[in-house]
Amino acid sequence: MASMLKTFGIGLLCTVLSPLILLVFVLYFIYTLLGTIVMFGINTYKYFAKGGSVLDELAIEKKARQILTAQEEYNQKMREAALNNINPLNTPQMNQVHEENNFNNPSETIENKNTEYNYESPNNPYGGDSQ
Amino acid sequence: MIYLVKLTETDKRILITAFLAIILVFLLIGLVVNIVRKIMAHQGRAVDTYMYDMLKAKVVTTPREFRKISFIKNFQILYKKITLPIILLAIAFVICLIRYFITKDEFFVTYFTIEKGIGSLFYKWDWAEAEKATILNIKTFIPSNWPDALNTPHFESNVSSIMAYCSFPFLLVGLILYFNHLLAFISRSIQTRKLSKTFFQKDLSKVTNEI
Repeated sequence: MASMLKTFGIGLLCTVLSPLILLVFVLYFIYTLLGTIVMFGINTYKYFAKGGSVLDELAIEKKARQILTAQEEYNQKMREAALNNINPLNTPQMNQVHEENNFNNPSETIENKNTEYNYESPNNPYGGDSQ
Repeated sequence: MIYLVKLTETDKRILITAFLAIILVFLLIGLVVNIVRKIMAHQGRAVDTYMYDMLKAKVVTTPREFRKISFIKNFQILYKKITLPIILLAIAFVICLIRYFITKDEFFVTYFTIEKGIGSLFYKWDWAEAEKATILNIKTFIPSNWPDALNTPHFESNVSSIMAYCSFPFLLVGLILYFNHLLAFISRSIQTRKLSKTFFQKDLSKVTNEI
């Protein structure tokens, strides 16, 4: 009964607001029609100028796909290395993956961090004296 | 007992019928609206699909950027899908144009008429002259009987009508498809606005719980 009343209410509301809804639809119709014409113009220009299309993949999409592929490859290599029982971060394959994708080698990064935050180093302003 | 208004049995029947008819009409409209809302929710999920990779790779980091990219993708999808309806509408328009040049009828005025347009394919009832119901001796606008048919479906053999028959299926299918894609476009726009707000929203209570 409640759902029926709700449906009735929606029906009543939509009937009352129907001119406004119709107006929105008409405006959207004109907007999309103009948008499509503009896109057709851009598409024609792109086709003759660059040989491309307006439906081509966006640069940001390509970038996202590259990142995801690199991540996937990285994870795959890590799994393979773990299965072969070798240090996964220092294999030649992993280094190649890091170089290809401009990644920092995680093991190197860890070492760098250790050097940088070595609490026992005399250069460390927080090290030595307080302990 | 004194009655202010005394309804006859016929008056009661008419009132009940009119009341039920009104309820039924609004219920039907409500049902149609509910179906349209469900279809729109389903169509809006396309945003999730085309934005998923970009959000997963974290190349889109702000709501503004999200809306911008989604807007471009939304138009790309619309452009891709709307080609067919536009071609159909263009064919209908060309046929109408040829009809106009051949018959010299007014461009769209005669398109829906019975004599020269597609009006001959549909029933037409004489609602204006239909018998109206009377309640408390007052004539209402409610028809009490089915009106006479002014036209029953038949084919007219003149050039104007034949060309109108040829263009009408293209026009009808084109408009239905266009409406469907327009609805999908609006759904994606709404979903984009919703997601741009919810996806980048940070919940501080979760951070405090983790601490």
